[in-house]
Amino acid sequence: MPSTYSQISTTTLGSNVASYTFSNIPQTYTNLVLVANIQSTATQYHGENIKIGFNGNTSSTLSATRLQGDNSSAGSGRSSGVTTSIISGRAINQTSGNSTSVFTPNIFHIPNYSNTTTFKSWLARFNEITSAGSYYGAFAGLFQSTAAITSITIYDGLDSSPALLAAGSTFTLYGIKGA
Amino acid sequence: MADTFVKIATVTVGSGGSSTIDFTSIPATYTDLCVKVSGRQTVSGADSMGLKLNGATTGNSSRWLSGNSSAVIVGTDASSVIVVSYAGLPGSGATANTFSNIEIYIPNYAGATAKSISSDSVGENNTTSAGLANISILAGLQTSTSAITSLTLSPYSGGNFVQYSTATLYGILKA
Repeated sequence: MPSTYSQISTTTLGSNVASYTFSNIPQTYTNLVLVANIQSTATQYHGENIKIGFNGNTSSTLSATRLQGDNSSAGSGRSSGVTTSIISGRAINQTSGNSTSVFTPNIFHIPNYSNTTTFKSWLARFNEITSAGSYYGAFAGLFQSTAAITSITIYDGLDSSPALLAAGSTFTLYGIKGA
Repeated sequence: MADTFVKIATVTVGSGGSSTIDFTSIPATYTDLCVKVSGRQTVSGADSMGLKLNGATTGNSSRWLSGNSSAVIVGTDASSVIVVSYAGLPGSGATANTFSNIEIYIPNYAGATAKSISSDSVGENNTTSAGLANISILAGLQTSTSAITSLTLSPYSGGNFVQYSTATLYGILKA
């Protein structure tokens, strides 16, 4: 039986950085899974936005709809026509005012990423739970480009006060083959 | 390129049922763990499912977002288990032969940080009654920084897993 779930690349941050990019993604798989276990240097909230971008895109072709909970209520919202990246979730634990040993899983599924005829949709779930608060749910996203995805960037940054992805955060990209 | 999604063990509940499904002596040679569960339990209504890491009964907390066809709710728990499925295990009152579909993901399980858990759960059983079919997204936390060497799953309200309930533990292999 052929192997179908393979690690493409993994890294653990040795220092705080503004973003992390997987580049030169091979086009030999059917789907991608990105597992980002993240902590932020933000201090304002229990969580912090993260964003995802594809192929270094800078046009207004990204959108996403979210379903989320935050301990006391459920909600939904969306962003569209985003120029550089999609807000992916307020889902990272801060490193001050909270436990420094807590990281947040963010798991992205990107099917049919290498085709050159359709736009790229993706699904993500994020699961923050900390002593200061929680934020968890799912995102459905769209990248209106028919280009194959060759790079993915994860950014940290609340728009009004950019922060950094903290050292110790891990990013792993898997490829899934259809056969 | 290394294979990365490797089955460590599968448990299938036998006749007579079982109050827990246990995975022990989990090797520390992977990066992440993933558990996929097809389960049903003996209490009449749909029940939640709990998870213990290394048998820990303290330091557990859970949050969930759940829909049951008539309402969307959020909930919290800080008991002796981490809730990894909210009302996702069909009970004795559910349509016969229906089992849940639950996935639990645990990144960096062998590391020296607290253990954050992501899970989702579906308990559809072709009924018109709200509350007997649930879909949920859950976040869990165990504050211990010890490496995980054992997992225990159990119905939250004290029932048993019924025969043919299965759970498979996968290791996501380091490169």
